[in-house]
Amino acid sequence: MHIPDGFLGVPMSLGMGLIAAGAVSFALRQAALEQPLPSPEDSFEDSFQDSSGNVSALSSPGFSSLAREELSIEAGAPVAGLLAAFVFAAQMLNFPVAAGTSGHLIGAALTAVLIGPSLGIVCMTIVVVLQAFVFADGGLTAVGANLINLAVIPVLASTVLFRLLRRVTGRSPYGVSLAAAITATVSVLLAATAFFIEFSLGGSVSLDTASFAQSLFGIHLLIGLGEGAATAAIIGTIAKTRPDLLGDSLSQDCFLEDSNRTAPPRQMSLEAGLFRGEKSKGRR
Amino acid sequence: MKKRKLTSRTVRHCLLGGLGICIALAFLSGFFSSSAPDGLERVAIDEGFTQAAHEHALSKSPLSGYSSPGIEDEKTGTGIAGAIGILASFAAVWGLLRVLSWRARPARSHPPRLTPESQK
Repeated sequence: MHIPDGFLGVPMSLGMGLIAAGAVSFALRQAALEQPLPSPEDSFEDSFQDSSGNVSALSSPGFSSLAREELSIEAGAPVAGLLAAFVFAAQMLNFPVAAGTSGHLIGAALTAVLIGPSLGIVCMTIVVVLQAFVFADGGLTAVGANLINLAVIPVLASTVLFRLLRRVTGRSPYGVSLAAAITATVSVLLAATAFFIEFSLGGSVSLDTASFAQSLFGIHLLIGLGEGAATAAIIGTIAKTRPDLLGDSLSQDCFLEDSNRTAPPRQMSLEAGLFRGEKSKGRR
Repeated sequence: MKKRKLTSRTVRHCLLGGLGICIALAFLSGFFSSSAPDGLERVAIDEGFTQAAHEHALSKSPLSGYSSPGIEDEKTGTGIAGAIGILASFAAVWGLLRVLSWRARPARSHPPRLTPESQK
């Protein structure tokens, strides 16, 4: 899954490095703005008062009531850290997919669904960079391409796809699991597609396109199905036990909405901390 | 909807439990992980471009390839290396987000204000 040094030519590696640097720094900025603020002056009352004065904000269903009662400060960052730890562990587990071939989970779809695109990209980036620079897994020159393939593209695609699919499948645990399964499978195929494009345009070897595509997508479809099953199991369990963690207003399509720098700090529930980005819509 | 109060204590318990599960997964991966070539390596073998891969520049580093220095048993070594990676990922993400939110704080430390749009 991780591209080693030497597969991609210098121009492609450099180009991907630049794109990855841009995408990751943008995600970092967004993530910083989404972070719940654990500072004393951002008191609970402040955010409550603001929302009670702000009638339009309360019109979004299930939005205001949830976080009021559950006050859990500082939960967003540790949960993102825990997800990164889980992604690291999951990427170590290679499961056999076909004779003499194995695959491991990427985890991008899971992070995207649970903590949103910007924190998701941050998590995946940390994992990929650690793997390349400490564990010699994935080339140093290929780190840009690996970030694009494993962090940026699957997380962004999963975010959009999951929200679209959930409108179709509904919010029951089974519906959510189904949406997660499809999302995760497609996210792996998109990662493979990204590698296909990178290698076709800037690979160090030129290959017969048809057989390369057949081999690449055949194997990654199987890996994707594994990823889909694992992601669906995890998301399905969360949907059954803690549906609030999946965000009540996720169906509002706020993904492309700009995060507002002057937006006041709001609820400090785990859920609000994690889904702050998506929720900003009703409150601007 | 079932609600559970998330005090900092339960958060701490969740985190410790979660990290424990992850570390257990890492040790399991030492025993059960398939050592067959992964998807990309398989494609490289089938399409005959394996030789294009260079050796990793850090392949001599202590934790390279999820192995631990000075541990005889390879499987235990994988587990220990994995545990280090897991704790490092956790600490890196948490630390990074904390630093970022401190840096972003001045822009948001004043009391919330109603904007003209929100009053409509």
